[in-house]
Amino acid sequence: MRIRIWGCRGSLASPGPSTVRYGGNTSSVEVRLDNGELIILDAGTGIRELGNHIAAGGPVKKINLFLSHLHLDHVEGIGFFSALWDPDVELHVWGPPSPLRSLQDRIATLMSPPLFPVHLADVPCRPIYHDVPEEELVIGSARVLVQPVTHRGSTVAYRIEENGRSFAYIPDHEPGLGRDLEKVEPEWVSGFSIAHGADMLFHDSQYTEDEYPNHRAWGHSSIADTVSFGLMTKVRNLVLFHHDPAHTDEELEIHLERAKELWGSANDAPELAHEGMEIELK
Amino acid sequence: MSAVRQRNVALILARELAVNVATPMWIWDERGDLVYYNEHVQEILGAPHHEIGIGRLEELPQFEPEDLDGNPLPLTELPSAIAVKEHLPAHREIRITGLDGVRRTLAVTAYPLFGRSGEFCGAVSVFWQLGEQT
Repeated sequence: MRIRIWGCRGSLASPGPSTVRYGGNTSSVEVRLDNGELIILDAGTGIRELGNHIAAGGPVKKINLFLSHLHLDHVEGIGFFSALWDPDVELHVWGPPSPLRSLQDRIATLMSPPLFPVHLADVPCRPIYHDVPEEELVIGSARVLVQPVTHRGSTVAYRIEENGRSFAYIPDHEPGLGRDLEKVEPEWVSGFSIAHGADMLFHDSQYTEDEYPNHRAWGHSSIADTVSFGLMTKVRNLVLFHHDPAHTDEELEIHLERAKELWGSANDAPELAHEGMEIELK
Repeated sequence: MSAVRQRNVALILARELAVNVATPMWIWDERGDLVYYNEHVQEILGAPHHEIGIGRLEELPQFEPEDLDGNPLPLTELPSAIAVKEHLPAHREIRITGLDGVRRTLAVTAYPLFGRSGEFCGAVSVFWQLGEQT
């Protein structure tokens, strides 16, 4: 599979001269399976450019869009996703279930007046909405595994497995809430089994260790907890994702050095997610 | 995916609450296995944390639970059992005999936990000690 990042900023799009290297668009990740099928993870502002890229590449008949959760920074780009305006695209939208409201109803809250000029029910593409199953599903040549994780509001993590390779995506996650991750048994760590042994993990790394105490229980991780989680799950590659909108390129690079220091010599060193980053797992 | 068993997020967060409060708490999984109890449980059961050998809901009668009039309480009338078996919240004042032989009067509140999809994933029991007699 081939993975490309179109947005990796957390919370709020933050374009500008201080975020040019890593990007200001919020979460959206393209995953091309070996059989050519397209999976998109999250519909932050990055999905606008992704949509343009897809449209420029010729007609796409089917897209599976997986939403990790419905916080604004993960869905705010959906109205500007070109596929939504193409009646010939079969768009499947997957998201965490709610016992109270359907996925379509929850997305329609965002995509309806007065927040958006067009109602979701009136877009030319007729998206097909699915609650993600509790365990796994098959998309083309891949298995997509799903697991609820600790974050504010109903949130799931995804793991995509294809031809012996695995990619785990946990953009918003606070596994260290109220505990020292290094002292907890794995089965009691949110997200452990979805990340365990993955070739590639994209993980929330919103705060520095100094910032985290003032943001505890906001649903995000410190760099130190992200590294601890990556080490305990024995992932091969850790990519620091969901950058805080206040963090400049220079600050992110300092955070990366701290992550490398904590990571030690285990597997490949952590990397910073950036727009345009491409990874091939084969 | 890893073969490691993964606890439901609702149980994980319930455990983190239990770890961080000074109130005795038990956490049951959906099958009635006691999957966690905090260190303050030793205050009501009268034994060091590592010697509290409860594993299953069905083992609760060993503490000789009774109502405040001294009538024995069957398992089915204990708040923990109601939460686990019937998926209902329950509260009661009871008397038990600890592993140290001390009889203690407790208020017990137990409540079921349902995950984000509405699935039953376990229960929490919270205890307050109201008094004791040797």
